[in-house]
Amino acid sequence: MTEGFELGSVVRPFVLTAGRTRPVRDELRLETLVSAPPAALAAPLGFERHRIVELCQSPRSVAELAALLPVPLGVARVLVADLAAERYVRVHELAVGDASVALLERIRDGLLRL
Amino acid sequence: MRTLRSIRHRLALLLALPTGALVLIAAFGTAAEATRHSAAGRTDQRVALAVTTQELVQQLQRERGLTAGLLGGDESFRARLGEQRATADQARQRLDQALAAEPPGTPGVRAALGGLGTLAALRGRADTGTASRAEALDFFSQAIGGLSTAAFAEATAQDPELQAALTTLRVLGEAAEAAALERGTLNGVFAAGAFGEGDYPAFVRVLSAKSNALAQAPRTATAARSAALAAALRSPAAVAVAGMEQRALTGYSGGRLPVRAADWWQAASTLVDDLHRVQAEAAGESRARAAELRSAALWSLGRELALALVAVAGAVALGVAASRSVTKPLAALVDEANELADRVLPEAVARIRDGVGTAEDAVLPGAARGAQADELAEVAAALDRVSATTVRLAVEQAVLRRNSTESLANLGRRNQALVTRQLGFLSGLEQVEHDPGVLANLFELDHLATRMRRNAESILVLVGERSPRRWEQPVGMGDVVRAALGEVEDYRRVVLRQLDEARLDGGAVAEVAHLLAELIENALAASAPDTDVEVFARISGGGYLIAVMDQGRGMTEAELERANARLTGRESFLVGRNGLLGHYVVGRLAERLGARVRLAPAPVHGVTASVLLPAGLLTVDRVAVAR
Repeated sequence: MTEGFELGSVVRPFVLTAGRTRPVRDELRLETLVSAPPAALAAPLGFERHRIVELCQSPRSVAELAALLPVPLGVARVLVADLAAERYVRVHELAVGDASVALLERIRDGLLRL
Repeated sequence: MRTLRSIRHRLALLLALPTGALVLIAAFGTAAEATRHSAAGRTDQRVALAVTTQELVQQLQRERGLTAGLLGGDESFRARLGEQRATADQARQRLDQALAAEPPGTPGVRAALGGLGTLAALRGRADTGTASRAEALDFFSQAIGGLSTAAFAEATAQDPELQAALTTLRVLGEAAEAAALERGTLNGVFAAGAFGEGDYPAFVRVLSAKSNALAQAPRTATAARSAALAAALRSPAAVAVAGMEQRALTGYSGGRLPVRAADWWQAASTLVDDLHRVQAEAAGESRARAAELRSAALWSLGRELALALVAVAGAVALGVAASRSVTKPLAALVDEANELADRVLPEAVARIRDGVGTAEDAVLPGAARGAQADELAEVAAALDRVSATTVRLAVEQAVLRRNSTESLANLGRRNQALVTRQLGFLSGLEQVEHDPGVLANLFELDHLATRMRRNAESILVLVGERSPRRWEQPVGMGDVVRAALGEVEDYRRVVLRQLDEARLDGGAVAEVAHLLAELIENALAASAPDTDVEVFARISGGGYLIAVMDQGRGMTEAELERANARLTGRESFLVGRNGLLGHYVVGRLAERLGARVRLAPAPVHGVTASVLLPAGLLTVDRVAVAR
C-alpha cells in the first residue's frame, strides 16, 4: 500500500509551529521536566498543545514529550516554551550546581565525540 | 439572385427559354389560324349579304322589265307591276334588316342603295307615262349595277376554291343581269311592237354582254354548276328565248315585230329565274366552302392550342422530373451526411477514445451506395472519404492522447515518488536537529518539497491516477486541514475558525487535503496579503462541510458560473486555459471523492468555496466532537 516508501506523518512538522524553531525561552533542554496543573485541561488549547497538557499531568521531560507526540525535538521545545509563557505548564528549573557539573560533563562528552 | 440558388430554380430557368419559344411559336400559329377563321367568317357574311342583295336585284330586274313593258305601251303589265313593286319593296326591307347587323361590305351596299333614292319618283312618272323607256331602263340598270358591284366588292379569299366560287357567283350574277336586261329591253320593244330610237344598239350590247358572261361562267364554276347552267340554257324557255331573240335581230329593218310581249316576258323570266337559281346554288356552294374553311381553321386552332399545351406540359413535367432526379438523391445524401455528422462519427470517435473500438470497427454507412448519377456518386464517394479521414484522425488523436497521458502519468508517479522520499529524508533530519537555525532551514526545504509533492500529485489527478499515499487508519479532520495548509505557500494567513472533530477515511486523506489545498491556494491568491483566509469545518446534515472564505475582490456571476462548471469535473483540462488548472484538479478530485464543491459570493465580499464531503468518508467520533 505504501509502495516501498515511508508514508510519514499526515501533518508536516513546520505547520505545527507555523515555521518557528526558536523557543520563546532558551533554558529548555532534553531532560528539563515539565508539568501542568489539572485546571489547564479545560483551557481552549488545540491539537498538540492540548495533548502536552494532558501528558504533563505527571512531570515529563521535553524529550519524552517529543517522542510521545510524536514531533521533532525542536518543535516540542517551541510548543512547551509557548505553553510555559502562557502559564499552562510549569518548567522545573534544575539546581544551578548540579547543572554546572552536568553541563561540564556534557561539554566533555561532546568534545570527545569530535 | 437569391432565388436561383437552388437546383430546382436553375433547371426552371434553363427550361424557361425553350418553353417560352414554344409558346411563342404556338401563339403565332394560333393567331394565324384565328385570322383564317375570322376571314372565312367574314367571307361567309359577305356572301350572305351578296345573296340578300341579289334577291333585291332580282326583284328590281323584274320591275325594270315590267316597267319597260308598260312604257312600251302594253297596259297588261300595269297590274303585275303593282305586285312586283310590293315584292321589290319587301326585298328592300329584308336587305335593310340584314344591313342593320353591319356585316362586312355594309358601307358599299348602303352607298349603292342611294341609287334607289329617286325610285318612287320614277315609279310615279312610269305610271303617268311621262318617263321614257330608255330612261327607266337606264335608272334601274344603274341601280342594279351599283348594287351588284357593291355586293361583290372586296369579296376575295385566300383559298383558291372559295375564290373560284366567288368569281362564279359574280359572273353568274352578271349573266343573270344581262339576261334580265335583255328581257327588260325586248319587253319594251315587243310591247311597243318595234325598235325605237337607240333600242337596237342597246339590245345588241346586252346580247353580247350576256353571251360574254355565259362564256366566262364555266371557267371557274364547278362541274355541277356548269351542268346546271347548261341545263338552264337548254331548257324550252331558253330555246324559245333564243328564237324570239333571233326574230328581234332579224326584225331590225323596221315594221312590226311578230312577238307578243307577254310570251317574251314569260319565256325570258323563266330563263332569268333559272339563271338566278344557278347563282343561288353557287352562293350556297360559296357559303359551304367558307363554312368548311372556317371549321378547318377552328380545328387547326384547337390542334395548335392542344399541341402547345401538351408541349408546355411536357416541358414542365420533364423539368420537374429532372429536378427530382437531382434533388432526391441529393436530399438522401444530405440526410446521410447529417446522420454521419450528428451520430455516426461522434459515436465512432467516442468508441475509439474510450478504447472500445479501432478505426476498422467504426462502421460507417457507405454514402456512395444508392446514388445513381455519376456526379452524385462522386459526391457520395467524397463524403465517404471525409468520414474515413475523420475516423483516422480521431484514432490518431486518441492514440496521441493516450500516449501523452501515459507519459504524463509515468513522469508524475516518478516525480511523486522522489519527492516523497525527499520528504522522508527531511523528516529524519528534522527529528534529530537541535540547532533552531538549521531546523528553520530544514523547515523551508520541507515546505518547498511539500508543495512540489502537491504539484506532482496534481499531474496524477489530471491524468486520472490516484495518489499512492493512503493511510490504514482514519485521520482527524484537524490533521487533514493542517496537512492541506502545509501544501500552500502563505499558510500563515489561514485561520481555522471552527473545526468539528471527525475522522476521515485514511484512503481519502491525501486527496481531501489536496482538494482543500487547491481551494485555499486560490483564496490566498485572490485576497490581499494582509487579510486572512478563514476555514470553517463542521458536521452538516449530509456529511462534513468545509468552507474556505476569502476577503478578496470576489468574482462576477459569469465567472462564478464558469468556475462552478469546471468544478463539477465534467470538463477536460485539455480544453481549458492553463491558469485554471487548480479548478480542474479540484473538479477531478471532487468527482472521485463524491464531494460537492461550489463557489459562491461571501457574505460581505470575496468568495466562499464550500466542500461537502459525503458521510460515507467519515467516522464520526461522538466523544471527540467536543472542542
